[in-house]
Amino acid sequence: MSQKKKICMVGSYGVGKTSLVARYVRGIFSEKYFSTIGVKIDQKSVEYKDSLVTLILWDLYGEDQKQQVHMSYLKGASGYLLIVDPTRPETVDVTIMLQERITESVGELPFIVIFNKKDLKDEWDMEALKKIEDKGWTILETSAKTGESVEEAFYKLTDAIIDSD
Amino acid sequence: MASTSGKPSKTSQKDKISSETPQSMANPKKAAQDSFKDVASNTIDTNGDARSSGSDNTSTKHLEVPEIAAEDQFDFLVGLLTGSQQEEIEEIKEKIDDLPLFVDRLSEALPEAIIKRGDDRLMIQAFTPVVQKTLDAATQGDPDEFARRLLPSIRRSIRMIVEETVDKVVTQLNYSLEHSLNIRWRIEALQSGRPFSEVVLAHTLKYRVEQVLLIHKETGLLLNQVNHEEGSSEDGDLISSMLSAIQSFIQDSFKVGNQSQLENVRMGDFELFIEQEKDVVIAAAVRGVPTADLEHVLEDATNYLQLVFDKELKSFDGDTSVFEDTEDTLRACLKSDFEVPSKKPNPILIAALSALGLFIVLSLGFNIYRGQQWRGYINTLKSEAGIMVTQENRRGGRYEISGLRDSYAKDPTELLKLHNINPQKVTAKWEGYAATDPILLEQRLKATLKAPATALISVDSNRNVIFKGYACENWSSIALTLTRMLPGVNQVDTSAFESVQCN
Ligand SMILES: Nc1nc2c(ncn2[C@@H]2O[C@H](COP(=O)(O)OP(=O)(O)O)[C@@H](O)[C@H]2O)c(=O)[nH]1
Ligand SMILES: [Mg+2]
Repeated sequence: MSQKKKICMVGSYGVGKTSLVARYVRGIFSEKYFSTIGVKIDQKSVEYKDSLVTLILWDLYGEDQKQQVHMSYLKGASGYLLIVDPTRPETVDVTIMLQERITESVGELPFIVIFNKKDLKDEWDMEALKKIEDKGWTILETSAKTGESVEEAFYKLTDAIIDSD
Repeated sequence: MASTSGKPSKTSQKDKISSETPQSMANPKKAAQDSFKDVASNTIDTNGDARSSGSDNTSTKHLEVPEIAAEDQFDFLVGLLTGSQQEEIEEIKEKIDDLPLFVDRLSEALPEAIIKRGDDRLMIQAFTPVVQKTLDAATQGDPDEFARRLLPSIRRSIRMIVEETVDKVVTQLNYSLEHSLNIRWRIEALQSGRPFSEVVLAHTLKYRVEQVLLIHKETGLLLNQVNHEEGSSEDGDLISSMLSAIQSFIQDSFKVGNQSQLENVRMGDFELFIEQEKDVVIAAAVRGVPTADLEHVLEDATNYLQLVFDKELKSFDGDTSVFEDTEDTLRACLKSDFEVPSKKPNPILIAALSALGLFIVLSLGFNIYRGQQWRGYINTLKSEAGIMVTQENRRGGRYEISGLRDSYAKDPTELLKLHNINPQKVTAKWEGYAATDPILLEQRLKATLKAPATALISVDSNRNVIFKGYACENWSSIALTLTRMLPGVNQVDTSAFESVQCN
């Protein structure tokens, strides 16, 4: 049996969403589309237990002063990765705010919080991260630069999604 | 919903009845009916009691309740509630229990019930195996009979298919002929180095649906896809989601709401035609400019799939295997149209076809004419004395004949000329034989005996040889002996013949 799941990459601008996806996916759309409509779509197949799960990854344009994440892009998603850049404490607040908005507009979905840029762990603001750790959410540390735990992040999310089905 | 499984305690049933609103009485009523069976006999008794005591003191009916044993309270209550309707219930119960009566009633309602739910997918699902098994049984029983019944309808569709195919072939023929003569395109092909067929395609293709995507609306996930070219494109998943994203973007950015739905999107060489339903979207990648009927085809397909797969679309969880059955519907959307410059058939084609037709008619006619000539010749031979045809054959303008021929019979080769048949085309094999035909017999006798002028020899129709006149004895003795020995001779009549002594 093969399955398809829509998954969203959510997080503040510059946290590494695009870099995480770019590590192993195939895309056909030009950057022009991406910047115009604020979403980049890629696909990745994951071997999950005995079956193949095709993840359709929606990389949503960052949340900054200028641009808000379109919540309608999350419609029909099976789950999402919530990405934080621990070297920039302000992204922590954006992350918490985004999570609230998502549950408000599309309900509770499986998600995993990603502390990206693990290769720069010396520069992480541990104090700010505590705010997220206190929430009791599932957290994974990755580095899009070295590739550390990137596969694992998508696999864990797939696992959480299929568990919740 | 209905009573809980197992036997509910009667007290709780009673509570239920008293607390239920009249609208939801349907279910407890059913439960009450069920309990008729096991308590039927004592129900009547209790009811009788209840009724008689009730008639004594109608206002305090409810006060008597505590006096009845706890197990019977429910039955009592049923009797109380139904009271005067008890007889009606008994009547209804009888009607239901009376099977023939029930079947009668049901048969009245059945057609209407089926019509009412005929479009229901569940109904179709329920009927399909029955119909299939019936068909199986019918085909196994007497396949010939079955075929005989089907034939009229099949014949019609076969005829339609044949007509359509012929139509297509003529169009295609017309089209190829038209274009194979187009020198300009030949030159263009030579100059550009592209194959001629490609140049023709580029000039004449009005439009072609290259790919059809079936998309789940809520998730934007691809459910199924079909392609004009063999093999599947891997981009379907991405295009589907991209369309879904564009749709969301438009609705969000311009706050246009669900009413404004994406219709067409330009993508490279293609135009994506988008047809939306409640839960499903069909996107057709079209090269060229389609005719209006394409939109209807897409619309019909979308409506149909929404209807048939309504449940599956609503409960879709990422498993696309149930949507494999949409393939045929999607394939029907892979339409294309070519430019056929003149609707009238090409004049060259007409000329060619007419020439061909004329040739066929002429050669057919000629063949028939030749056949008749040959028949005539054979018949003449057969009626000719001293000729027996044993074998004859006409094939590919050549003739073969063989048989027996008396050397005194007419020459078959001479007869060929009479029938306008070229002797050079005829291979004849004639074996010699002595015919017993009176005329030939006479000829042969005359030639062999060399009779003197005074003697006359004739053969009658019974092959009797008659000698008349006179002749020298030395001739007549030999002649008569020879005649008697000749095969085919019946009797020799010499009554009018005289043999004389000669020196
Ligand atoms: N050192 C390091 N840099 C990263 C990592 N992931 C992303 N970046 C950098 O962070 C910047 C923003 O990344 P991008 O993927 O565009 O972020 P997005 O806006 O969330 O899509 C880029 O310069 C990336 O090279 C990481 O794991 N380690
Ligand atoms: Mg990005």
